[in-house]
Amino acid sequence: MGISRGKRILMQGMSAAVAMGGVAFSWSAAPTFAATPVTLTVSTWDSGAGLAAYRLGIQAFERMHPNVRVQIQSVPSTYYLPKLLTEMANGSAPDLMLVGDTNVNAFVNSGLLENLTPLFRQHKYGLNAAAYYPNVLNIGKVGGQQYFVPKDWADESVIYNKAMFQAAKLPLPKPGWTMAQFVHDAVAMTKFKNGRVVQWGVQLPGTWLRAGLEYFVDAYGGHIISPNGRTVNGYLNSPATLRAIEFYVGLYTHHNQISPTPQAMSGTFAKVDLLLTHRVAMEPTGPWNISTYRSDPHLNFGVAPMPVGPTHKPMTTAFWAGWGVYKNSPHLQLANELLAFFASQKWASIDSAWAMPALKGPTVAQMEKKDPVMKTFFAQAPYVQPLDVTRTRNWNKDVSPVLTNLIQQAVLQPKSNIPALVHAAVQQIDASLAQSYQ
Amino acid sequence: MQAGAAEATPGRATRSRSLRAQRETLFYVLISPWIIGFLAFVFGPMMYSGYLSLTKWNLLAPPQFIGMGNYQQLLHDPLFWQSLKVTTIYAVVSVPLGLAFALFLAVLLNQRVRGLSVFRTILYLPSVVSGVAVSVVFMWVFNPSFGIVNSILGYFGIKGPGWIESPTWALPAMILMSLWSVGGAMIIFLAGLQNVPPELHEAAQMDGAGMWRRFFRVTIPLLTPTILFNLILSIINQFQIFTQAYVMTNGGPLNATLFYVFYLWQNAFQYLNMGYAAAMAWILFLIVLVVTVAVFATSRKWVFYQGGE
Repeated sequence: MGISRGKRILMQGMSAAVAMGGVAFSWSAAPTFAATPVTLTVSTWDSGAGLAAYRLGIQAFERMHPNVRVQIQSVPSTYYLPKLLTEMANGSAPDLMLVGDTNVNAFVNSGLLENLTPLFRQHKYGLNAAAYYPNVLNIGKVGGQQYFVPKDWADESVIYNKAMFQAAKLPLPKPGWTMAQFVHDAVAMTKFKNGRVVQWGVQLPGTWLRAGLEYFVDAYGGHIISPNGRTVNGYLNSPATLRAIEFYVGLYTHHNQISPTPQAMSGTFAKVDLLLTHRVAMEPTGPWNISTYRSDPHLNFGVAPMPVGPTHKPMTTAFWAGWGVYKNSPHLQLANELLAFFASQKWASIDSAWAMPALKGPTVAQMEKKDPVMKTFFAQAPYVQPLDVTRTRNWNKDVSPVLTNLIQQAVLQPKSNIPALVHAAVQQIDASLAQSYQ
Repeated sequence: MQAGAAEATPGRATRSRSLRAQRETLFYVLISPWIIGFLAFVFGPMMYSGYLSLTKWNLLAPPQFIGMGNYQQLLHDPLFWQSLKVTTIYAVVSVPLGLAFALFLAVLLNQRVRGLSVFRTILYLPSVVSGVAVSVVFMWVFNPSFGIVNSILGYFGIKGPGWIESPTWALPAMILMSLWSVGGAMIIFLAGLQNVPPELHEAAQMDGAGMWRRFFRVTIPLLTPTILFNLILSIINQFQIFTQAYVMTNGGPLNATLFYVFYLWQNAFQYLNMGYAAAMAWILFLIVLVVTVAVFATSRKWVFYQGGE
């Protein structure tokens, strides 16, 4: 997540204030003394400012452990998973690894990760489950056991262009606004010139399932996959999920170009921020580009929670990555201590310079106090829904491609019979799941 | 004399054997870096991937031997067949189209005009641009709303198609885009054209052959070894197309650009299905091998070497 220099300084100042305020950090256990020099490896896809935060954090950790060196293995996100998997395969995995939510289940099922539940139960190294946002911490659990600890997190909210709302004489979205209002506003703010769209009402997430279909399924009270992750029958084709799919597809097909198409979002616009280019009025997304929006003096933006669906309950979806400890680490105890460091308020204060800490406490309180935009994102924490992706072993292979195709097909062929498409998708996914669980 | 010669023969033979042994040793010493590299980084991994293709392996747990299970599963995988179809269509259309275009450019660059080196540089330059950069540029070139292609068509009152956003037009767009990188083949054709003896053209001209007849009856036959070389390279390259799908379309829309190697990569590193991906790699290897051997086999009938070899 990028961040402006001003914000970074502000947040570093806040962090320093927190530290100087004598706030007791939860990471207070006596560190292990390494008799001989030890090198721990920690892998991440973070780079730039995010990596700078690691360096600060690791310096602090190394000061506490004089004989320990921590090596950061920073790999671009495109190559991260292949590299990590090959390291796991040849037994040279990093001691501490960052894993995205989509792969939580597969990594846990490999049996190569340390079960962290006993550490949390014994509050070892200061690990304390109560210090976290519960819904955010729970994403790192499989079968009720804690295997991952969130590094940081983000949730989905609607970032909007205030000027476009004002120009359309629409009230700004507020907590509790409904999907009907969301659609109405998107239609009202879509503008055409010579038959071509010059301003879209909304930039829908297209085939980005987490921000798109998965949220709407939650908002309609549905699920995609069974709790044991072995079937989608009775879930993907349940009445609530079907209604959600029809609604989501209908945003593209029932209204005249209120959003760029899913094809455009996976293609030309994949790397383009249409909010920043003043081409779109609303975008349901995470907070990653907030600092960039702030740096544009012409962009007057606001943030609202996601619109409420038929369940009438506020909801959001999380974007999440967590730390896991390699079970075969030759320095397991030190690796656990390093994990505990990344679960401490000290780390939260450092990481807050560019991300949303998952630990409740003084750092977040300061961020909320100083920054109303980030406050909106943090305020959604109680409404984060459990992620269906963590329920099954191989979401990327068994579920994701079929759902992506389903959306594309339904949008490209507006007269498609969606229940029939969903029925076919259920058959296809269940066949694939059966192979994965053989 | 005879006795002396007879005495000298064994000595010469010994020296000759020794020299041959030395040369052989030197040969193996000099070639050993390549042999070691080949065994360690090509042959070894190939054999290992052959073994992996007989296993179910997600890289996280140890490989589980399943015999021909992956190959059997491939036969029933609609996406495997889709990827094979897409890649075959792409190769069948883009290889001849690319070769023809490369040859056309090479012929232009073989003319004696001013500023020839500048033209050669300009036409070769696209070949050295990174595939990712080219793909990003072409995403915009083919954008249905803002792209230059549809804007130009618009001037003529033609409503352009959705290109990479359309399941019908995405593959043709990729084929057109492949013409961007014909520079390598063009240079090889140019070298081939410059090896065509001018006296043959002169003789044909004196016999009354016109420009087209000389091109098809003199230039093309003498260029056939170069065409064969470019053809083999193009086939191998086009069957391995990956970057465009990875950057521009993610294999979509609706799997319209699901190229074989892209699907293989998805299986290996997105779906954690390494055994399956290894089986796909072997099938691709066999396909390319068969096609290459077939092209070589037919080459006896249409490739002409100077000197009648």
